[in-house]
Amino acid sequence: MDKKENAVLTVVGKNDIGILATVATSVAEAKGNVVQVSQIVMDDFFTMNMLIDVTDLACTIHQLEGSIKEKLPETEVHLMHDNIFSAMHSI
Amino acid sequence: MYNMNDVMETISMIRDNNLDIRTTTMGISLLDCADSDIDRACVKIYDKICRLAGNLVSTADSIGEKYGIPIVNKRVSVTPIAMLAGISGGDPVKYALALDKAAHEIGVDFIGGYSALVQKGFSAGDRELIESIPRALSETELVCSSVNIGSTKAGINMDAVKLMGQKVRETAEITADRQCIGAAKLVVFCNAVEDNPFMAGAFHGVGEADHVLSVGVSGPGVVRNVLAGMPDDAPLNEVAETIKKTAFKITRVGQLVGSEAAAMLDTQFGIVDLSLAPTPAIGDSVAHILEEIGLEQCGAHGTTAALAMLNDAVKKGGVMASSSVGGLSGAFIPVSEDDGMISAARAGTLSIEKLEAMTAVCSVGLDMIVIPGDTTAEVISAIIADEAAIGMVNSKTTAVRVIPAIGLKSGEELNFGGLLGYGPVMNLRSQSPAKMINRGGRIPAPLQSLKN
Repeated sequence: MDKKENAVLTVVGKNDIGILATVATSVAEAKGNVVQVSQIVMDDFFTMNMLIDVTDLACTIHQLEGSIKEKLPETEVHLMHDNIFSAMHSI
Repeated sequence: MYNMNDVMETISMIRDNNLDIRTTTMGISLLDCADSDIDRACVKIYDKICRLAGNLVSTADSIGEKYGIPIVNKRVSVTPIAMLAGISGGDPVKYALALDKAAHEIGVDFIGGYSALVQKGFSAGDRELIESIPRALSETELVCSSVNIGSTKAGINMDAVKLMGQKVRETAEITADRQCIGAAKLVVFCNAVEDNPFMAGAFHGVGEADHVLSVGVSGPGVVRNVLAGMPDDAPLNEVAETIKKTAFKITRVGQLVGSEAAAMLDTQFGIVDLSLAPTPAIGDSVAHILEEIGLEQCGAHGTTAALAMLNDAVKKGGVMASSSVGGLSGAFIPVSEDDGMISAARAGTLSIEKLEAMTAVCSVGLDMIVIPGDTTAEVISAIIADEAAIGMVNSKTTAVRVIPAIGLKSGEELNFGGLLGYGPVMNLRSQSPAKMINRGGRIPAPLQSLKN
């Protein structure tokens, strides 16, 4: 069996109704599986960190990031493969 | 799950501070392409490069997209062509044209290895190749050339030094209508390394495997940004520690990308070159790191000490991060490729003498320095000899890549475009070293060579 591949999504911006729902829908449409989510809302500021299983993703990570960005133009969206975080932040 | 701060730090390094993989370079041995018929050898070279490196660009791009990190350059380095020219005879420029054609076909940015290793003397093909360098660099677009004229073990071949002074000048003259660009693709080394992935000095050493993939990481902007976040009164040992930790993170990315690319291309992973390589882009400057450490401008007194600390800290962090470190590994100081150096040179703060002192404590040497167009070949040879002496005595790699700005005087500027950047003509001493250079012969190997 192939090794699982994960990606980390971060969304930062002004809080609004349906951000999490929008993201989750886009991820599901691209055949990604949400593994873990943490979100903090302070005053009006929304920060979300989501671990997504992208092993069977129907598009590239870059394309998924693009489609989420398109739906949430008011927020800052970054989606990156988690290998890069584990390389940098663990020994 | 990752710590949010770690995630945001990585994102900001890449998106805001120009962290990138500066180069993925595939080293390819051409020893099995040698042939007594030069035309047949050229066909074999073209075929082998296209076969092994045909997917280099698309692989690098797909990894870049997967990780969201730019891989700026894709390059190929080959066996020093003088060895093939020695076997085939004939006009070595044919090899340069074959390399250029292959490089265009596979879409790489540069191809290095139009090289000769003559630290102790000339063998078959060496002199012919060196003589042909100006023509080769003017008739090709992507070929880079290097010549090793000295080493700690062998001393300095002063006949070669004399010859290279002439060739640097001729190369600039023959490409004078193109901003003297030829000289920007020609490096003269002492203690050249065989696995350097950076241009213009990359070649694939004879001790290397048939084909390997090496990676050069960059990230001066990241280091500078981390230092900018430190208090002004933080002691230098803490500054060094911070640089070390940052270099570790940068190098880990290089290791990740390099090993993945090597696996995809079915080749051996070579080395990670831990170099802080600047670009002319704002915020991607080694000089600005030195200024962040606490100098008003790069070139001020204190620059050498700051650079020595930076260079050492980069190595210490990087060595822990990668299973295989090599190449030049240190901080680069190419004047025309570094926004802060360009400013310092324009202001007159950075002089050639200070740069020479800086090369004693960092990789690599007098790099991308624009010198007056009326500089004689003997003066260029003398610059090469001085720099080679520093490398020879200190058992380190040094190099000279100076660009005589034909027709330009002190204060005027050359502009090469792209990563090669732009820079003002820097002043040199005008007194003649001709008598010494014309003596030729060899500077014997120093006592440091007797280590056995």
